[in-house]
Amino acid sequence: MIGALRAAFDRETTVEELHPHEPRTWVGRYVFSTDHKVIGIQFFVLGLVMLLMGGLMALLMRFQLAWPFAKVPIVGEWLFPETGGAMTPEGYTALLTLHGTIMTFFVVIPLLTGAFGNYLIPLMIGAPDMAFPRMNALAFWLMIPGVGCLAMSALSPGGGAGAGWTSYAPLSTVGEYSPGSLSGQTWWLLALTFAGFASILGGLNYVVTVVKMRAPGLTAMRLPLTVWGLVIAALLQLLALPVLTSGTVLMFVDRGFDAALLSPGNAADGEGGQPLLWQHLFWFYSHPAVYVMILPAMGIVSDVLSVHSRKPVFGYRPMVIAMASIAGLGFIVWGHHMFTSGMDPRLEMAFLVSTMLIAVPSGVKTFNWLGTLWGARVRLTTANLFAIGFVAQFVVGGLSGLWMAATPVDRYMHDTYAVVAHFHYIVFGASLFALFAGLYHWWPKMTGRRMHEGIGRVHFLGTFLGTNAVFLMMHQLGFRGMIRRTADPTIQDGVAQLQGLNVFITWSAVVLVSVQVLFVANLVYGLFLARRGEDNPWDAASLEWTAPSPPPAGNFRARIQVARGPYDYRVRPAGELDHVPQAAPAEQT
Amino acid sequence: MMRLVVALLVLALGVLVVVSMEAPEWILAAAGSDWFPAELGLGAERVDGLFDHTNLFAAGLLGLTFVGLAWAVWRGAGRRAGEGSERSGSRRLEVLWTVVPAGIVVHLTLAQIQARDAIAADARGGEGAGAPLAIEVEGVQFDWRFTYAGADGAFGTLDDVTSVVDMPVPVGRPVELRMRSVDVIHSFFVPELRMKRDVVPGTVTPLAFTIDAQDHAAAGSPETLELRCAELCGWGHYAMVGRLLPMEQHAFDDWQARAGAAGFEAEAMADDVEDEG
Ligand SMILES: [Cu+2]
Ligand SMILES: [Cu+2]
Repeated sequence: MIGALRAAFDRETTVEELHPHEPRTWVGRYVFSTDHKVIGIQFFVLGLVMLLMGGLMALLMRFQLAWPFAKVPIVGEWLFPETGGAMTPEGYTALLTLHGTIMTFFVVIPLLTGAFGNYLIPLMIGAPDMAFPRMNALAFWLMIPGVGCLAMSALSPGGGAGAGWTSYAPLSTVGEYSPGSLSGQTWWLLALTFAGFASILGGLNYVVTVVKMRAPGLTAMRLPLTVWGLVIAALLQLLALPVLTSGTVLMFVDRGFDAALLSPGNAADGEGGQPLLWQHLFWFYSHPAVYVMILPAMGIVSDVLSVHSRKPVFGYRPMVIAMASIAGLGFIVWGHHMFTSGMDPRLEMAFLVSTMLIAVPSGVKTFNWLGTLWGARVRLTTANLFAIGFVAQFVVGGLSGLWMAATPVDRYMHDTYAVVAHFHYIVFGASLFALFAGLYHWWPKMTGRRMHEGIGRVHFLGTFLGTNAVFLMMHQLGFRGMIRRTADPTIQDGVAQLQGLNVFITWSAVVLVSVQVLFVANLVYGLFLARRGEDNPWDAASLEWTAPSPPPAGNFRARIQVARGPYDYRVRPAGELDHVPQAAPAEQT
Repeated sequence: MMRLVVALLVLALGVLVVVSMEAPEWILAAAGSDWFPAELGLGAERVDGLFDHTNLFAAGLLGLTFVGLAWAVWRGAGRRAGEGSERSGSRRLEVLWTVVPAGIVVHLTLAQIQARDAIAADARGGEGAGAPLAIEVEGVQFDWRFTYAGADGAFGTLDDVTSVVDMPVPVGRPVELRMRSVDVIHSFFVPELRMKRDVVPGTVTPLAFTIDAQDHAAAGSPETLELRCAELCGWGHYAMVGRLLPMEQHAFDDWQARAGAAGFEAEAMADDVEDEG
């Protein structure tokens, strides 16, 4: 039986099986496509549009924090007609909920796993497509009702969901506790459910594809680190999402039937539900979700650094082990989000120790990136610049994590702007920088054209300066005690003295968002104006560059046989080939 | 040109991060002020001490990686074809940069556990502290309510004292809070105490603290400390503030007696009104 199973697993899938009837119509080819490349690009478009939305919401919030309850320029009268254009506190809580939800579930996760995962995995493992192309398409199309539900949430009577992206019960479960806890919160739950199902389907697909469809000779230790990052992230999604889903089911029951599973309800005798149950279920998923947002980014950065610095990734095997251990540890640290919730001190100690341990593999990754750059021929392409920026900002965001692990310090920093600064250094300074690095790097793969390097460099400089101008001094506001999710920091006497800092951060945010116009300009340039170029403009060695750019349906012209790892870069005099393509035959060295 | 810009940017960020963690402290200290709120709770100094101790290692690691990054980029961007290294790993280096950070992590973890226990002991007033003052705290959208046992030291008696927003506490005496929430989760946060504890509906969460008499005097005996709700609790979260009023024990006793009597009178008056009606 095992033999039959083996045989079934080893049978090769052909392009014809994957796409039995190549669609002839435009809609079939570009809209309801089952081609992993089209689906990947659809995820890019969706994620970037949502990134713009989430960014504009952040600007609105920053305006309120700099000039509390002043008339919001341009959109104020349209958004807040009842106050003549000044933001309302409900409006602010709805905004912070939307911003967090969008950026996590509709920007960073779908961009890194959905967009890069779909586009790159089959190409990087020498496969014609994903294992389950139709399921793959379904995963993308589930995101659309998800976005719709989020919009419904924002527009629902009583205001949008206002319990934060973490939606702690009972604020989120009992209607009268929050204006947005009317239908807005239910729509929010639905949006989360759609996005969750999309992630589960996508994750299943990635894991099966990488296990089953690698080109002959492509052993596990010859996979690019991007693929490793994506597969480990997919496993995290598969194992953790069901737990979040069980939480959302409880919340649905609470909201729909007044079940009080997540709140003590009316039971004065303590017979009701437990609000902390939601926190445990939520963070059991959402801490691993943080690694879903960083592991693929780490993979992308490793690849970009190696290609653009013409040197093999330093310490490939330790890099893989580090990623796997970060993911493994990621399952036993969720309690560090709950150090103030009053858990048992022994449990608290366990979470303290496990959280501190993550510093070790994170350090290993950082030192190996330095090792990759050490002695390399660094090309300062835009992609490489963003990768270098990633390393720097990852170090800042990683080290500030030490405060959050130290329970006594965390009990001070928790729910202050020090935490806001910490995680924005990771999800913005690291994850989104990896997104930019990856986009600039694989753009020629996707379009056959290069984006403009001059515009790209200015885009990098502006984004790097802007990011740090916005997020660095948030640490200081947190040290002063400025709490998170406050609609008016000036209410705190100690923080009011630092209001100048809040104004500075807001202006920096305006600059940071404005600089992205350069990125949009570069997208337009890269789509329409740039010259159609070579198949492999960066002289990269990994498999995806063996295919034509952009790759046709089925990806590769010839059969792929792999005899080496993806990072065979060498020191050769000018004029000689300085790398060996991964698909090159074994004899050629 | 670009290589210099990038190397300098990386260095500048590194310097800025380290300086921003430490320097405002020095600058403000020179100006007679402080970046962090004053350390008024017993154990608060340990919290800040642990923070500084962590930052020592964080700054070291950050300096090392940022200088390395800036140098590698500056040097690497100057190399031409045929120069450089093909090295793809080193067992010795991997062991080194696994073991050294692991050692730091073990050291910091032990320091954290030790500090955690010491802070918990300090908060209860340390050795030889008198009997703690119990206060029942109630969080409600968007207010803080407090109940004191009154002179008889027992809750649920006629001389219980209630207070809204204002929370008088004697300086130097351990205080034990028993916190409940009427509706959603709130969080009790007084920056000067370096403490924060969630107030969760359906359960009673305890919190112990002691205002250090010496530190309080040294800080100019502030009469009010800000009490913040730190957990998002609805639209009015931003405005859910209370006031901790540190005072001498005798002043506290006076207040409790006066407030108790006033409460008693008010209650009696309410009863009268009811009787007449
Ligand atoms: Cu976490
Ligand atoms: Cu609150």
